[in-house]
Amino acid sequence: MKSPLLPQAKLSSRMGPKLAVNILLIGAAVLAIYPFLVMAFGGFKTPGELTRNPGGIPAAPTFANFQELFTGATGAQTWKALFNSAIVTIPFTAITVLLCAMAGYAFAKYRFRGRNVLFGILIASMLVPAEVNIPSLYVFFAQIGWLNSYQVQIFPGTASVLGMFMARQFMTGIPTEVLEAARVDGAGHWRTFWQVALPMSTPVLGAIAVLMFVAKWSDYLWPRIMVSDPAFQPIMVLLPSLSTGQDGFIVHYELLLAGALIITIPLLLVFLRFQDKLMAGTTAGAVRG
Amino acid sequence: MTTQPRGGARPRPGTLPSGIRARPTLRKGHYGDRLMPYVFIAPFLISFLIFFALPSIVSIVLSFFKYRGYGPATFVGFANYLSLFRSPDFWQSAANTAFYWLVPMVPLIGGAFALALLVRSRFARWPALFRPILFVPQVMAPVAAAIVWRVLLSDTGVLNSLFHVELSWIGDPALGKWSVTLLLLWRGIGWYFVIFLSGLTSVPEELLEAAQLDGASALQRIRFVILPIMRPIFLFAVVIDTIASLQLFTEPNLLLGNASAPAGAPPSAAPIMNQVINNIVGGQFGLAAAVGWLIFIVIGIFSAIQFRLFREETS
Repeated sequence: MKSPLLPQAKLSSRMGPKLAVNILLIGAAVLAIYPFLVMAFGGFKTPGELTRNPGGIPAAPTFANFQELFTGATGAQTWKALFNSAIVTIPFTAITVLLCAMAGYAFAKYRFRGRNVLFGILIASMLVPAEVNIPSLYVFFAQIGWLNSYQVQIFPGTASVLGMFMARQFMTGIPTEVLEAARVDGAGHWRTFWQVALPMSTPVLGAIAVLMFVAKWSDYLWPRIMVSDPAFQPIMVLLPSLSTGQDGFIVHYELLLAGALIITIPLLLVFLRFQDKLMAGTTAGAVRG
Repeated sequence: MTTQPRGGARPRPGTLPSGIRARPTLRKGHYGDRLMPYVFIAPFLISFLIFFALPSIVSIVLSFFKYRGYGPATFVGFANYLSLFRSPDFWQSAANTAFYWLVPMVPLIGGAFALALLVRSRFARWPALFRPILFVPQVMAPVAAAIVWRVLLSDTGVLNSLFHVELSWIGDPALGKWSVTLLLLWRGIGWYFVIFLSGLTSVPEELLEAAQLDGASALQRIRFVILPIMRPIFLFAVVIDTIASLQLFTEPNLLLGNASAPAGAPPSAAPIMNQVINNIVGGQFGLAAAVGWLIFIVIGIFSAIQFRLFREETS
């Protein structure tokens, strides 16, 4: 707590507020982190220990929960659901980034009839919650046979207005002269976009990708409604259903905590690697001021 | 944080970036050139139309029909809306959603703003460290968060054993909503904190220093310098909180409910989205669509009111 730059007299008068502020902040940080620890500890506990010692470090750590989760009948379900999550999340993220980048590029760097009207409509549509469309989409997907499939989890939502808006904001800042130079050198519209504009936009494309990955991986409502067949269910839908497992009413929270730890690890890794992109992305709209 | 393009990158009226077609003489009238922007937008627009715009229109229409998912759809006028208004379940879940919206709002937004001020203050020892730490609960998926909070709040859980009480956070109908509130606060506050933190960087340092030289206390500087500049950020935070609260689904259902039903929360704590989902599960698609549109109308009304209120105060 010592600041060598401050004269001694000033230091003592500032100790009070400095201490209070830092204690408050450390308290908030502990509250933010502690549930993660409960999850990480709990996954290594026996049912008995979780009841006796729900929040502390496990006295006798056990891997039994992870064994149960990843072997035998439950294991087959878990692996399948993890595979489903990955096979849905990765193409969804890639397609969304591409669609948002292309549309954002057109809005940022071209003048065309209907541009402002179209952009206004898209921005206004952000007020309509996607959930409003679930009833009609359910009927629609039932009729074209898309319920219980991968495609129902991959294609809807790829027209992310937020992502498009982020791409457009960033690409507006690319100097037009650079793009014109590429055109003068003989590059077509597509090559100018693909080989000049896209590489220059990697920061925002990364932010959109991280945002979409996290949202899709974490999504529960959409697959819970559209996918009832375990063959296509992602891990987010499978995991809570394990609580009402084979032996009726006993809920194995230690098993659920182990599973929660597993589904959180990819998100934590993405966060640790790309935290600035994720925070900039989730708060993108606010910076408009 | 501010790696994004800010206001400076925005086109000013009259000086729209003419983009690649800045050489109209060279390419004037070239058919392919005029078509290109539409080609770039087409994939996005097709996805938007199929999975968003058309379903929105269909769901308005659907809300005036009785449709069971098969067979003919019969036009019923406003009957779906009227039967919702007569349903106690509907009003109960609407009241629950109002609770999840209004009760956490002040601690969520006020707390996040206070934390941002503290981190930005010259007293904070490790400002760069607190940003990711306070944000990280947002990274835990709602499904995982609901599981963890069930353990925190269960009868033999962490909270009860820590404070030596025997409260039934999950089972008691009166306490259930408060448990969801705790979960929402824990998971959400970091998001608003990061918004306010980036908003605070737009407060000019010179302005704060000038106010300090003029003898303004810390509270006066917050009240008369920081708050007016931050008004649009507060507006944004309240609008986002409103939209997110009305769409709330996963947290109450997985924290309080049985996972064997999609919308498993007990009626005393079920959010309005459960009315949409239960009607889909029950094959009442017209009713489900009507609930969806009521949610949208409420979001529209509150957003408009909030914009109006904040605009009046600023002018």
